[in-house]
Amino acid sequence: MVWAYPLRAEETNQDPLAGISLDDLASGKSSKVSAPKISADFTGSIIDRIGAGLNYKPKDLDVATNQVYAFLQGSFALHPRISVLTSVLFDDFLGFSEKTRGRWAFEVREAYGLFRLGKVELKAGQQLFSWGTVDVINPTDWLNPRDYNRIIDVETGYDKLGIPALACNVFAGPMQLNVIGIPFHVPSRLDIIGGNTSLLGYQFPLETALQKMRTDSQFEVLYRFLNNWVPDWQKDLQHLLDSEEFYNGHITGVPQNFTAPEAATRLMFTFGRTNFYAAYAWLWDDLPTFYMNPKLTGLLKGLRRTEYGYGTLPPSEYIDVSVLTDPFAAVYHRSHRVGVAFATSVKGFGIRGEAAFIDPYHWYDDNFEPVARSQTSWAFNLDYLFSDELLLGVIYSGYAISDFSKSLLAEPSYHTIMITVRKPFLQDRLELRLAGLLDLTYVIEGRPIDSPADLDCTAYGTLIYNLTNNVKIGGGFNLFGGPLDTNFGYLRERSRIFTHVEFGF
Amino acid sequence: MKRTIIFSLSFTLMLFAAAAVFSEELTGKQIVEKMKKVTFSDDAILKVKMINFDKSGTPHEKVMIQRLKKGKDGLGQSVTSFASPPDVKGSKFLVMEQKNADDIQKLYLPAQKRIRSISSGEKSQKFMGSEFSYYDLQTHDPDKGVHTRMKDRVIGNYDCYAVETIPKESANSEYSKMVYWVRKDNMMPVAAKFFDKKGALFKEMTIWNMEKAEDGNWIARNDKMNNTQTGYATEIQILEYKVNAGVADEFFTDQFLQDETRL
Repeated sequence: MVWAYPLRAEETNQDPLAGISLDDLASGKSSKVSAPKISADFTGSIIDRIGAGLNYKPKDLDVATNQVYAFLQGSFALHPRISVLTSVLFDDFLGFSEKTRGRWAFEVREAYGLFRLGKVELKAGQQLFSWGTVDVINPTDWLNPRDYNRIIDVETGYDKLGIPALACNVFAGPMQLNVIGIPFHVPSRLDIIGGNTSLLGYQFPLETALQKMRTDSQFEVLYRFLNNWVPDWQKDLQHLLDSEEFYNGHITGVPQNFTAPEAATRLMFTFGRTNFYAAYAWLWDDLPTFYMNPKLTGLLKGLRRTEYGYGTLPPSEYIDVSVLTDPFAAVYHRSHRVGVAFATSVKGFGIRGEAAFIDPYHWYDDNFEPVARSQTSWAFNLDYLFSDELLLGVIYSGYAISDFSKSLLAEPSYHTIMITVRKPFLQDRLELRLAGLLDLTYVIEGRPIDSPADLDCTAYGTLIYNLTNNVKIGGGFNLFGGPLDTNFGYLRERSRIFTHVEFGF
Repeated sequence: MKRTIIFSLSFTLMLFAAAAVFSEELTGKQIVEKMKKVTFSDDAILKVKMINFDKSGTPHEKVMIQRLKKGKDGLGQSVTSFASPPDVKGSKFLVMEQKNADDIQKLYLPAQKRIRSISSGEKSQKFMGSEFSYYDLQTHDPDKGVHTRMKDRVIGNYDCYAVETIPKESANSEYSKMVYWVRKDNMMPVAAKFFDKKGALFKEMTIWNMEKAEDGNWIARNDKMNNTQTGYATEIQILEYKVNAGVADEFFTDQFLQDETRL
């Protein structure tokens, strides 16, 4: 019986490492080469996702969407001790509804020089950092801002935005020290309106707000007054509130003149099979804090206490309607952050956890005025890889507000549980990913759950097949559920299914 | 790379063997002991291609650089850098042998930019979706099996010993029985059969294209595992190798794992 299996001709011709010397790969330095070699390596991908909404509301939501991510990375070895890495991303979004909307972005994700000085390395330039140990939810992953429009495709990693930084990393046996200076703040991108995860949907929900005003006796007087004195106010206000420029004009950004740098440091220590981390950062907030115009607040309070009482319209000279065109200002604050984390494995179980303390952190009271508190957040992750390669994980996360008072528009603490599943098939060519997150906060506080629709939750899944080494196809879904006033419930009409096509090189 | 990878330093060690030749009559256990006794110089670096074949024989390849080195304490360490396909390119896997404990394994994924420690998990898990399991890639303690010498056989042009091994309970093996055919001239296995817990043929392995390295040790350039129950197969090719390459210690560190500018 012949036991040997001859190679196929095409298999022997494909060597992506052709031309790369094993001598150079072994030494890590070009010690055997007389002159420095410059080498380059490129990688990239193009992803296209076509989505279809599961809830049809043409005015507010997209019926169908098309999202393209085109990514390119180049790394260059200039010298045994010096390398450069650059990566760029092009993001193009189209939403199809009663009117088509589009958005595109081109950004440099990373562009840094890496200088190796033995056990010390310096990285200078645009960078991405990943702090934290837990899957998906990382309270200590503070450094990079996010594009919240891309949160819906969070597994791509493209939600994270690069920042300019100078990082010094020291590797000393079981210890690592990272010290990072960030000269310019890069804000997160969160659309107030018009984005997939924007707070107020595709456009400002003026009708919803008006309906509330009509039925709420507190606002009834104002509503009647406006209809009497400013009959076109609804149309004008809608036009104003749907404008991105209007919101951007009311945001006070971070000074970009070296007077507002950020800094962070992290120490890691390995003991046996366990890594321990301790971190500190001094950073600008991820999102600005909104301050309502005091005149607007006073206007609303004044109406309640007017000497004319309910049902009597006050004269126009008592009301400064112009305040409606200048309702708020958004301001960034800076905070101190302390974090700890660990990661270990025991008897096949992966066990990881992290916690962060932020001070100050701004919440809002029932007068819509910001209130500074401190916040502690945490996440714990347990996972296990079964013999049939099924990876099952559980993540418990949450936060708690210090000095909580009932006037705050928040819960004193927040708890979620997430289940993740990953299963490969067909020699890793087909992969199933599932994740489901349930907000336990309302369950813990005893809020009535009469049906699954009352559960604040989200679920995500993909099934991706490697058609070839370079091409993947598949599909997935994003589902959101819960009442409108809950964290995921407000996104529930954005539930979708999507196709996925990816070309990589 | 979308799944946990389990890889043992011994993966490539099994393809190396000392050049010693023995002519005396050997028992089954002695044959196994000599077969398992692998050696290589202080370090080595290899370019390796792993080809997974589906039922129709369509190949899907992964190419990697593997660096091996013995630490000062004699314990081995290896780091594997993946060069292709695109979805695993830039990923790195570090394994460090531990005395009387499971290997420490760390994985770096460029998409996540984070080093993750890998738990040992089940030994029957597949290495990177291949037909080689973690158990297949480990060196096995001969004392954890009962070895019976069977009738010698000629495989190809080589006179071979044949040994049947029944793993003991303590081996925690996924197999009920293994049969090896070992070349008499260099004690390198050329073929093996593996039987599942029910006694049915599960996998067949063939090893070929052997040559002597610069340091006099034998190396097998090709190794293929066929899963007879599913029809899938995996072939491992050593495209290029260099022993006594002067592999620097810096490659077996977190610093190298996280360095996306170096392969």
